[in-house]
Amino acid sequence: MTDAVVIVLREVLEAMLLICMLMASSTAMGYRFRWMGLALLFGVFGATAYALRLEQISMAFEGFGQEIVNSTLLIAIAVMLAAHNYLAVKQLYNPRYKVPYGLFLLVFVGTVSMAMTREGAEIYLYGYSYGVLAGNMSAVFSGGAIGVGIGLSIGTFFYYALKSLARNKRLVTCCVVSLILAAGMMGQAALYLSQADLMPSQGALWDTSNVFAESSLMGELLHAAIGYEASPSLTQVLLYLGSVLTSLAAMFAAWFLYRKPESGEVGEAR
Amino acid sequence: MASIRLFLTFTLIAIIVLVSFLSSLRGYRESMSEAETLFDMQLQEHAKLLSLISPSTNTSGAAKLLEELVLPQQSDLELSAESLIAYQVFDDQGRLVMRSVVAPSAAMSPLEVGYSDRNFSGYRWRVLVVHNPDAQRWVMAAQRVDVRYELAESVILEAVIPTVLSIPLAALLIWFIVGYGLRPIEQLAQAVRSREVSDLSAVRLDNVPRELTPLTLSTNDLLRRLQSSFNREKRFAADAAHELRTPISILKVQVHNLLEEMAAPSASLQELQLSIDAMGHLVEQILVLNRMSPDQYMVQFQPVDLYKLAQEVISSEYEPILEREQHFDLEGGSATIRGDGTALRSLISNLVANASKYSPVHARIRMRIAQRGTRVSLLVEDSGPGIPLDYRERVFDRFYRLDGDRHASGVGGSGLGLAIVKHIVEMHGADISLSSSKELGGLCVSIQFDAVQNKQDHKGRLS
Repeated sequence: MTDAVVIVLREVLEAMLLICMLMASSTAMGYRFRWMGLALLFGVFGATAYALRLEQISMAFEGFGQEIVNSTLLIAIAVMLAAHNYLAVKQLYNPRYKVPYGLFLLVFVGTVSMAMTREGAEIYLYGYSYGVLAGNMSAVFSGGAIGVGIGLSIGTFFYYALKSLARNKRLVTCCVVSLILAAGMMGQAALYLSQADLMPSQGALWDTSNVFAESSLMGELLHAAIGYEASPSLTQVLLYLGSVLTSLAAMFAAWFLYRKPESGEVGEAR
Repeated sequence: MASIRLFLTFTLIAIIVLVSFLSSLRGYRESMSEAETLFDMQLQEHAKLLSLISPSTNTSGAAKLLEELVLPQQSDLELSAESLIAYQVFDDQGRLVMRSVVAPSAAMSPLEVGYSDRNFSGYRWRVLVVHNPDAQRWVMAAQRVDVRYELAESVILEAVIPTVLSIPLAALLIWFIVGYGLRPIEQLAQAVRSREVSDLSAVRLDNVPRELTPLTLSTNDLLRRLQSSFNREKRFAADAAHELRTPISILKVQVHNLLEEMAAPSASLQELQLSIDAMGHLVEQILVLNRMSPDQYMVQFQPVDLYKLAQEVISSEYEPILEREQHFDLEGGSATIRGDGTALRSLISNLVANASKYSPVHARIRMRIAQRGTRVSLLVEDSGPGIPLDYRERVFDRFYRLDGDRHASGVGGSGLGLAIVKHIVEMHGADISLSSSKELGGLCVSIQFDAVQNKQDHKGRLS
C-alpha cells in the first residue's frame, strides 16, 4: 500500500501544483474557472487514450515511443508555462491589457490537459498492472485513495495560499512557481530523451541520494515540487537551467515591452 | 476568497483528509511492523515445539516428513499450503532428521541461531534457527515473506479502508454544516438586500450569532445615522421653504404696489419682480419635492387616465405657451395607469413647462400618450436646443442647470423640475429616458409606465 501511496501521490501532487498555480493565476488575470471543465475533459480523455494505446505507443519509434511521447508532452508543457509567464508579466505591467480569452484557453487548457494526460496515464497503468492484474486491488485502491487525498489536500492549501496574495504578488508568485515546475519537467524530459538515445547519456554530476533518496516520501515530494533528482546528468542540469533562463527571458521580454516608460515599478493592483 | 462556504468546506475536508490519511499511513506502518513481530513469535513457538519432539535419530539416512508423522492427510490442513510454515530438524551432526513437505531437502539456512531472510524454492523466506542442546537438535522454521506481508496487509487494510470510504460522507456533512453555520450571514444580507430604497429602519434578526452581532449593530447604527441625517436635511429644506413663503408673498405684494404707484416703472424694479417670482417658484418646487419623498408620500395609488389628466394640465397651463406663440399638440388616446393624480399632474406640468421654457418662440411641442401592450408611454418632444448626450444623466440632479445660471435660453429656473419628474417616475416604478427628437429635433423625454391590465389591477394597493 505504501508504494501505491507514494506513486499516486507523486503524480497527483505534480499535477495539483500545476493546476492550482494556473487556477490562482487565472483569478489574477480576471477569468473564472470555466476553463477547468474543458481542461478536465481533455485531460481525462487524453489519459484514457494514452493508457489504452500504451502498447502501440511503446512499440513505436523503435521501442522508444513512450519515452518520446512523454518527453514531448513535458517539453510542450514547459513551453506553455513560459508562454503563461510572458502573458502574466504583460498583464502585470500593462493594466489595460487583458489576455484574450482564446489565447488564455489555449495556454491554460493545453497545459492542464497535457499534464493530466501524462500523470493520469501513469496512475491508470499503475492501478491496472498492480491492482487488477496482480490482484492487489484493495491495497492499490486504499493506497491510491490516500495518495489522491493527500495530493488534493496539499493542492487545496497551495491554491488558497496563492489566492490570499494580492493580485500582483499572486501573478509574480505564480510565475516563479511556473518557472520551477517547467524546469523540473525539462529535467524529466532530458531523462526520457537520454533513455531514448536521443540525447547523450552521461554519468551523474552529483549524488544526494544519501540526503534525500528519490524513492523516499520526501524525495518524491521534492521531485513533484522542484523536479528533484538525486543524481542528475549534465544534460538534465543543462535543460533544467535552460528552461529557467527561457522563462526568465520570456518574462523579461514582456516587462521590457510593456513596462510603463516613466518607471519600471510594478503597477498598483486594480 | 470568492465564497466563505467553499473555502471552509475545502480547507476543512483537506485538513481532515491530511490528518486521517497520514494517521492511517502511520498506523499502517506500525501495524505492519507489529505483524512482523507477531509472525516472528509464531515461528519461534513452532520452532520451540518442534525442538521438543524427539524422533529417533536418523540412521537410515532418509528424513521423515513431518506431516506424515502428525497429520494423516494433506486435506486435513485448513490453512492453504502457501501459508504453511516450512520446518527442518537436524541433528548435531548436521543430518536432516525431519522436514515438512514445503521445506526443501537442503538446509534452509546455515546452522546459526537467530532470524534471517533467505531465498529458496523460488521465494524469499523468513527463517528462524533454534538449537536444543539437550535433544541435540537444530530446528529451522521458515515462512514466505510475501505471504506474511499479504496476510498482515489484508488484516490492516480492513481498518484503513473505512477511513478512506468515510471521507466523501464527511465532505457532504461538512458542506451542509458549513452552509447551516453561515445561514445567519445570508439572512442578514437578504434582510438588507430586500429593503426598499427608502427603508432605513433597523435590521431585525432573530437569534443573531455572537460573531454577527457587531456587524448587525454597526449596520443598524449606520442606518440610524443615515436616517437622522436625511431627516435633518429634509426638515431643513422643507422648513426653510415653508418659512420663506410668507416673506416672498409680502415682497411680491410690495413690488406689485410699487409698480402700481410708479408712473414709469424702472427696469431695476421689473428685474426685482422677476427675481422674486423666480425665488417663489424655487421655494414651491422645493416644497413639491419634499412632499414627493417616499416617506412623506405613502399614498394609495388609484387608476388614472394619463391622457385625460394631460388635457386638464395643459388647459390650465396653456398661457405661457400662448405667450411664446408656441405650437402644442397632444396626441394619443386614453391610457390608464395606477398612480397618484397629484404627483402625475406635477410630472406633466413640469414636463410641459420645461419644454415651453427652453424652446424658442414659435417652437413646436408635442405630447404623445399611448398604450402598447402592458406599457403606457408618455412622450414629450420639442423643437428646442435639446440636451447634449453627456449631460442627460446630470440634468436629473437637484439644482443642476445646464451651463449653470448662464443657461443658453436665458430663462430662469430652479434646477428642480427634472429632479421632481424623476422622483415621481421612480415613485411609480416607471422608466424615464432622454433622447433627441427625430421629428422635431429638440429634446425627447420618454416615460414608460405599467398599464392597468384588468379589473383586479384597478384595486388600489400601497405603493
